[in-house]
Amino acid sequence: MRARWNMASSSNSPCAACKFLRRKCQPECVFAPYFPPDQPQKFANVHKVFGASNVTKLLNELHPHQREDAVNSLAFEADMRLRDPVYGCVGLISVLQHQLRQLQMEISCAKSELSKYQNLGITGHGLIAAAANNYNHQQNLGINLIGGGGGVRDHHHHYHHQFFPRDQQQMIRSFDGGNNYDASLLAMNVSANLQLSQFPQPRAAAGDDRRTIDPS
Amino acid sequence: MISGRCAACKYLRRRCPSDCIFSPYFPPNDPQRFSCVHKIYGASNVGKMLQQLPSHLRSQAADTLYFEAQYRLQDPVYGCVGIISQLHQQINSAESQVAKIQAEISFLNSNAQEVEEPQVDQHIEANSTFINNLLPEQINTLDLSPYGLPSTQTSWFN
Repeated sequence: MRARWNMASSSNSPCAACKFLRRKCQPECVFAPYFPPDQPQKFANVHKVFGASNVTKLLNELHPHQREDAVNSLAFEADMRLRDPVYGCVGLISVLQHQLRQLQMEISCAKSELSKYQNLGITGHGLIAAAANNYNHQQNLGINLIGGGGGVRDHHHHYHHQFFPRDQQQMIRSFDGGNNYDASLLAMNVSANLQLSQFPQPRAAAGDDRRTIDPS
Repeated sequence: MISGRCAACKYLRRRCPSDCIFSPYFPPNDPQRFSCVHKIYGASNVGKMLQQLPSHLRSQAADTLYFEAQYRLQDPVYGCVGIISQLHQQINSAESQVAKIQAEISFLNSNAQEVEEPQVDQHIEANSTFINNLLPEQINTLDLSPYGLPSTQTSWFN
C-alpha cells in the first residue's frame, strides 16, 4: 500500500505546513520552500498567530525572492507574540530603544569628558595619528598647551581651534572623520519614539509577569 | 442596536453582542484599525489572542497588534522586524562610538599623568582593557540568527 503521507509528487516528505494541516504537499506548495519538515514549530507558531490563509495571501503578494525573508520575519514576530502575548515585538522594540537612549547618554557624557581634555589643550587626535604612523619628528608628541603647539600638524591645528566648541557633536565629527552618525541615530530614535509613545515601557526585557495568561 | 456595533462587527457584518471581545478595543469611529488587524491576523486569531488574556491587559495587546499589523502592511517583507534590525545596528554603532571615545579619554588620561619630556621614539599604546567593562551586558542578548534575518533590508521609512 502506498504510504500517501510520504509520497508527495516530488517524492519528498511533506513540508511542515502540510504536515500540520494534514494535507498532501503539492509540488507547487507555497509553504514548502520556507517551512521544512524538520522545523515543525516554526509553522505551528506562524499558523497560531497569523493563520495559514493570511500567510498564503501575504506570500502570494511578494516576489519569490522576498518570500524567505518575509517568512522568517513572520516566524520571528509569531515567536515574540507567543512569548509575550501582550506586547509581542513591540516590547522588544521598546527595550532596544531604551538601550539605545542609554548609549546616547553615555556618548554625551563621554564627549563631555573628552571636551575637558580639549579645553585643557590636551589633544589626542594628533597623538594617535602620530603613533599610528610611527611619527617621530614631532617634539610636541605629548601634551599641547593652550595657545602653544609650535610645529603641530595641520589637522591638529584645526582641532586646536575648537577649544571652546559650541556644538560638541561637531567636535567629535571632526575628530572621528566627520560621519553623520549622531544625526541619523537621533532621527531614528525620534521617529521610533513618536510611534511608541502610547505604550508604557515594559518593566523588564523578559516581561515575565506579563506572560501569565488567565486560562479563563 | 445596529448603530452601536463596534468596528469589528461592522466589518464582519454581524450583530455586536454585549460581550463582544472586540468592542472595547475597536471602536466604531476607527474602522481602519480593525481592518488593518484583520488583514494581517484575521478576526478569529485576534479574538483568540484577546480572549486568552486577562481583561486589564487586552487593551495593550490590541494596541500592539495594531502597531505590528500597520508595520507589516507598510513593509510586507519585514514588518516591525525591520525596526528591530535597525535598532540592533544602531546599538552596535553606539557601542563602538562609546568605546572609541572612552579609549581616547583613557589614552589622554594616562598620557596626562605620565607627561615628562617628550621623547622622539616614544611608543604609545592605547589602554583598552576597560572597554569590556563599559559595554552594557544586556545589549544584543536576543539572537536573531535562527530566523535568518539578513544584515541589510529595505527600510520601512525609506
